[in-house]
Amino acid sequence: MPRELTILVACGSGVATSTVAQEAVKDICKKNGIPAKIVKSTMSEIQSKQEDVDLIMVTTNYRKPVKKPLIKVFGLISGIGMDKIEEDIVKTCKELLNL
Amino acid sequence: MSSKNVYLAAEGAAKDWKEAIQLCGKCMMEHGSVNQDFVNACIEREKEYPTGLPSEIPVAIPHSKAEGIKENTICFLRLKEPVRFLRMDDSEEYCDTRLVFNLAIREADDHLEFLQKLMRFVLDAGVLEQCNKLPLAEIPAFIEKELG
Repeated sequence: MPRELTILVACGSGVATSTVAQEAVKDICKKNGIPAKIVKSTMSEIQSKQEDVDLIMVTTNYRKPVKKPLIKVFGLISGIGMDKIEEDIVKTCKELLNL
Repeated sequence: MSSKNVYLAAEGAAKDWKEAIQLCGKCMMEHGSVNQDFVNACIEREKEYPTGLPSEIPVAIPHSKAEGIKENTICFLRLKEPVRFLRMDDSEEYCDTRLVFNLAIREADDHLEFLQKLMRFVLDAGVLEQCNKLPLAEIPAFIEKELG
């Protein structure tokens, strides 16, 4: 049985955009049969939380180095380039799960 | 849920994004929705993680989850002249906008549906045109209807 991925979705304040993005990511994972648990945080919490997650998604630009794969998901909010982001998410998740 | 939210509208002139947030803050404080801590937190957050949205009609959505929110409030500000906000998706880029939505929302997880609607709303050129045109006094009811 494949293990479950833990995905961190971060935005500036951890309020508006990460909440919307989190839901979009949840839908994408469900649709594509990817078992995932999604946690939300602010951008400044990324450094401390990255150890506990498999994958990081951000709604804004994040320039500090991270130890886990990082996907920019602003398009899930604006609706621009959504297909490409979905593709990226599915591909990255499947690689992490060795599917 | 929408009945619990407060909708406010303001108009004015600002020389930069900071003044724009202060104008929203003044409007919300007069209404008793938030206190100065919230306004300061929005300004601090904007410096680090800006909220300009480069859509068809650019808008900015300054917000913060800091203490100081007494009731969930959306304050719309229509500026005489555009001010420059750095962009949310790329803080090295900017967008100039006359339309600012200052969001004071507690417990975002309980308001998911509302936030989804709100994000669609602030990216919808049609409703933003209305926000541009309508008399200021009609705007709170218009926004409430759109988000309700």
